[in-house]
Amino acid sequence: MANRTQDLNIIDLFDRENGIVKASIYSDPDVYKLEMERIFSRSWLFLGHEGQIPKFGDFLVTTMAEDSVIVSRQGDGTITAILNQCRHRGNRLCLADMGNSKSFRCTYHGWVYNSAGGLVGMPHETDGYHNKLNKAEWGAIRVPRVEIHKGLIFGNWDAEAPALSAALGDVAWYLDAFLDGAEGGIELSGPHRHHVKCNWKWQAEQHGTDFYHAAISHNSALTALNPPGAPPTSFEYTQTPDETGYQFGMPELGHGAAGWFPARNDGLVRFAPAPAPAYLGGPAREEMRARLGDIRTDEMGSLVMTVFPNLSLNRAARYLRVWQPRGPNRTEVVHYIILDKKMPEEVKDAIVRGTSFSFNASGLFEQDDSENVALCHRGASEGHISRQTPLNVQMGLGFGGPHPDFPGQINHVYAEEGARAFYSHWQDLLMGGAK
Amino acid sequence: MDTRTNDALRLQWSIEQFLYEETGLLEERRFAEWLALTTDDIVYAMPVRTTRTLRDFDKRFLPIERAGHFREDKQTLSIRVKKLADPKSWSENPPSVPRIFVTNVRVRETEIDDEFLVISSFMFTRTRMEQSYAPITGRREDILRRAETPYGFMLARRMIYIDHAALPGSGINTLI
Ligand code: FES
Ligand SMILES: [Fe+2]
Repeated sequence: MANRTQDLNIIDLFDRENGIVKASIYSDPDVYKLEMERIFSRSWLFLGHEGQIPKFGDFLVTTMAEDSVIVSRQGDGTITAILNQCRHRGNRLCLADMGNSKSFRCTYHGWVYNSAGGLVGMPHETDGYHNKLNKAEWGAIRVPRVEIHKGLIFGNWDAEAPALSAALGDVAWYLDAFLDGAEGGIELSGPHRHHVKCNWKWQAEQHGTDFYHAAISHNSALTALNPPGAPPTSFEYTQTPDETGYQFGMPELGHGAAGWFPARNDGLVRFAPAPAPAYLGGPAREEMRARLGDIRTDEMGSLVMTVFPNLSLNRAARYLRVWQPRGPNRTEVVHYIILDKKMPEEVKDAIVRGTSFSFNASGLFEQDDSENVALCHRGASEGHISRQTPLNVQMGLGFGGPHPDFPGQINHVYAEEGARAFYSHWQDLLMGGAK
Repeated sequence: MDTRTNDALRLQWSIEQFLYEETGLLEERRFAEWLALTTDDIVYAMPVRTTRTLRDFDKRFLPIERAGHFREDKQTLSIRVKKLADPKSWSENPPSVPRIFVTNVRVRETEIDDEFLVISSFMFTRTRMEQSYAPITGRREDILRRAETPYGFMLARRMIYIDHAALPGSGINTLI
C-alpha cells in the first residue's frame, strides 16, 4: 500500500490552498482502488430507510460502493446488514432486490444463513464435514456498524469508526430539513436506478457545491417550463438566477450544501403539480415551521447537499440519491423521491409525478446534468494529456467564513466551498488520515 | 376469407401501420407531429422494474402511482417536446439518433368500441457522436383510439415496461 500511495502522490492530486484538482482522479484505477480501501471501507454509507423494511424478515439488497449487502429487519426490531456472499465459494446469497425472508439459502450447495448472517446449516454436515465445521466462524461477513439517523440507515465497514452523529456533524442541521418537517417522518419512493458513464465523484461533488451551472445547463428546461407566450428565458414561472444565497463546506468531514437562501423561499413547492403546492404551502408548512423553525421553512427551499462520500439530496426536487461507484468510469445512480409519510395519497402521487418529470433519469433537468457530467468524464479521462490537466476549483476561494444563522464554513452560493471541502476530506482519507 | 377474418386482418394491419408511422416520427425527431397523434387524456409512463423471486413476481413493477421513471400527461409531454426543439437543450444538441424497433404486435379488443389494447416488444437505441448507448428493451402496452388522423388512430395510453432493473444509458432524452 505504501508504494502505491507514494506512486500516486496523493498530495498532488488536490491542491487545497489553490483550489486545483488533477484530471486523472476521475479515471485512474489506482485512485479508485484506494478510494475503495480508504473511503468506502471507512465512511458511513447510506443503505436505505427504515420504512422500506418495517416487518421482521423484510429485507432490501443494496450496495456499499460495489459490495452487495442485504439489509434486514430482525425479530427484535433492530436492523442488520451482511455481505451478500456465501462463505463457501462466494456465491450471491440473495438475487432479489427486496422481499421478506428470515433466512437465505445459497443456490449452489445449499449453505443456509439467517438474515443476520449466522450460518445455520448446510447439506451433508455430518457425512461430508464430519460435524467438524465450526459454523460460528463461517457466517456471512457482517457490516460491523449500522446506525440510524431519523429513519435513514447507514452502515460502516470500520468497526472503530466514530459514531454516525460525529461523522454527520454540522451537516445534520441541513439534512434534518429533509427528514424532520412532519410528524411521522418521511418515506422513500423507489429506488429508481440508472447508469451514467462517469466517475462517482462528479455528481457527489457537484451536489455539494454547484449552483453555478443551473442557469446555463438547465436553460432549455427552464424555458420550456415558462407559460406560453412568456419570453424565452424569462424564468418567471420557474427560477430566476438569484444573486443571493449561501454555500456550506465542511472540510474536516467532506460535506457540502448550497442554496439560493433566503430569496428562494418557494422552492418547497417548485416541481410538484396540484394538489401538492396547496398542501405543502398550507398546513404542512405551518407544521414544518413549528418543527424546523423559520429559516429552514421559509428560506431554504432550494437546498441541495452532499453527505460525504456519496449521498446527495435536493429539497425543491424532493429527491435523495446515492452515487454508487461501478468502477472508475461508471456510476449507478440510486434515486428515491422523498415523501412525508403522513401526506395524503394524492399529494404523494403529485410529488412522484413532479419529481420524475424534472429529476428522474429521463427528467427535464436530469437529462442535461447526466450528459454534462458524462462529457466532463470523457473530457478529463480520454487522452494522455487530458488526464494531466489541472482543473479549476477556485470559485470563492478565501471568501468563506462563519455566518450567524447557518452552521459551517459559509460562502456565497456561487462558490466552490463545498467542492473544496469534499476534495479536502477525500484527500485526507486517501492519505490514511483523519476519519 | 370470411368477413371476420378479413376484418381482423385489416385491424391488425392498420394498427401495425400506425405503430410504424408514429415510431418513425420519433426516430425522425418530428416530435410535434408525434404529439399531435396523442389524445388529450394521454398517459405515457415507464414503471420501475425490480428483481423479485417467483413468490413476489407479480410485484416486480413498483406501483406507478408511487414510483416510476416517468409518468407524463399531455401537458408535460408538450413541455418535453418544447424542450427538445430548443437549441439550448444541450443533451440533444447535437441531436442523438434514436432508433426504435417495434415487433410482436398483438391487438386486443377492449370494453370500449374503437379502443384497442396493443401490446408490442421494442428495442430502443440511442447513438450520439461516435458512441452508442446501451440498448433499452421492453414491452409497450398501448391503448389506441380510432380517430380522424392520417394514420386512423390516436395514442391514448402508452405503458412502457422495460426489462432492466437499472435503466441503462442514463435514461431516455427523447421519446419512446
Ligand atoms: S457456494 Fe454457497 S454453498 Fe457452495
Ligand atoms: Fe443540475
